[in-house]
Amino acid sequence: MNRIYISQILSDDLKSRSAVRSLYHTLKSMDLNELVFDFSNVNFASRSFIDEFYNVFIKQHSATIENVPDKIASIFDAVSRTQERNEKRIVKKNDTKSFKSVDDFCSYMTKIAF
Amino acid sequence: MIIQEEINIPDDYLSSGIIPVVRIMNKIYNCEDEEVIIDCLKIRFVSPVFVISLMLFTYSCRKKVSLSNITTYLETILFFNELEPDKINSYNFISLLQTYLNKTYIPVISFPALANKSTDKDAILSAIENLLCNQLNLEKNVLIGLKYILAEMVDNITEHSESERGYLFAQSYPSKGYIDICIADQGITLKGSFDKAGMMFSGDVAAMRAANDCKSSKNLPSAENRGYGIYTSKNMLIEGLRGQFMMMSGSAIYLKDKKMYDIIELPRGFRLDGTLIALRLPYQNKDFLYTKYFE
Repeated sequence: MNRIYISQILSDDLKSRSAVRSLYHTLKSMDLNELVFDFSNVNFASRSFIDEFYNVFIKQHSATIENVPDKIASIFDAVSRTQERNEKRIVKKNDTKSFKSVDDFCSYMTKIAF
Repeated sequence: MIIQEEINIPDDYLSSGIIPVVRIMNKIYNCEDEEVIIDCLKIRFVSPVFVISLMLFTYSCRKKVSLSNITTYLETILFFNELEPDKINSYNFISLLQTYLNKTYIPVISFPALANKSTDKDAILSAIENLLCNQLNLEKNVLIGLKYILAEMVDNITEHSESERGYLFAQSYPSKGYIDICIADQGITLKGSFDKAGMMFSGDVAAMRAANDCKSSKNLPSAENRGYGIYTSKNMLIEGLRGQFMMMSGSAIYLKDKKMYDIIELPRGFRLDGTLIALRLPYQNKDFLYTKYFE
């Protein structure tokens, strides 16, 4: 199996979905099912990166990941749990504030003191 | 026409910078002149929301807007003279950032936002995070939370806005223990992104409500669920760090913290051609654990 060291081929600081897509374009000529993605020395990964990685490499191509730091493994877990989740979040409905004049808007923004 | 406003924005409130911006833009929209000068003589202290929102409103304004009497302070923060790190070599950029090590702000930075510039964008963001870490002596737990929140906000510009560039300005208030960070784009707005995805909303307010309710313009039926970026970041900021979140897109403003939640429409005729996010992030929190807020 080919081993891909993520921190070397991308970065130890993983922030963008597009980085995953670039990686896919680089690797797509290979048998992705045979790849092992090694997350050694990765210091940070955003949720967006992990979500994209999960969908491109794990869900669609059954790739293997190894040496995933605990904190990043937690993000993988969260991402896999929220796939195709359709639950509605209960959001307290709030009336929208509209204003007839600039003065009214400015007075309101001053009053709410946010 | 020359506009001169006395501006000294107190640091008490994250969103208060929008008030003088609306007043200035009201004068610009209502004057008959095609060219307007903003006289900065009486601008004392500004906030990230003021700086970035004024820039964006005036950049998309049909009138020619220029500045006069720019103070040393405004020059130093690169007010209307934003730094474009991708246009200088990375060594010079890092060296330039080092000159801000003992300051309480990050100057106004314009970064590339298109997907094919992601490597540059991510490197710029990492350099900014390192500077913030050194300026504020951030503990590792808060730094990771900051990185998580910023990464989501900045990547949303690439993924949704169709904006070529994004903007960032940050100001810390050491005596109060928080930092205000403003990130923005001149893109198609939340509603525009939803429209392109075939998710039609009646207006900017409805789109704002949906964006903050876990909906993404790129939700795909059987694939990834993207709506969690804003939601988990906001949750981390507000519940975890006890901070504040402000978002402005088109004619809608969204405000949220632990005590309140509000959706406000800008006055008639006012519209931000883009999306702006402002965060107030208290950075002294030994108990904060970012892994609690992933979903």
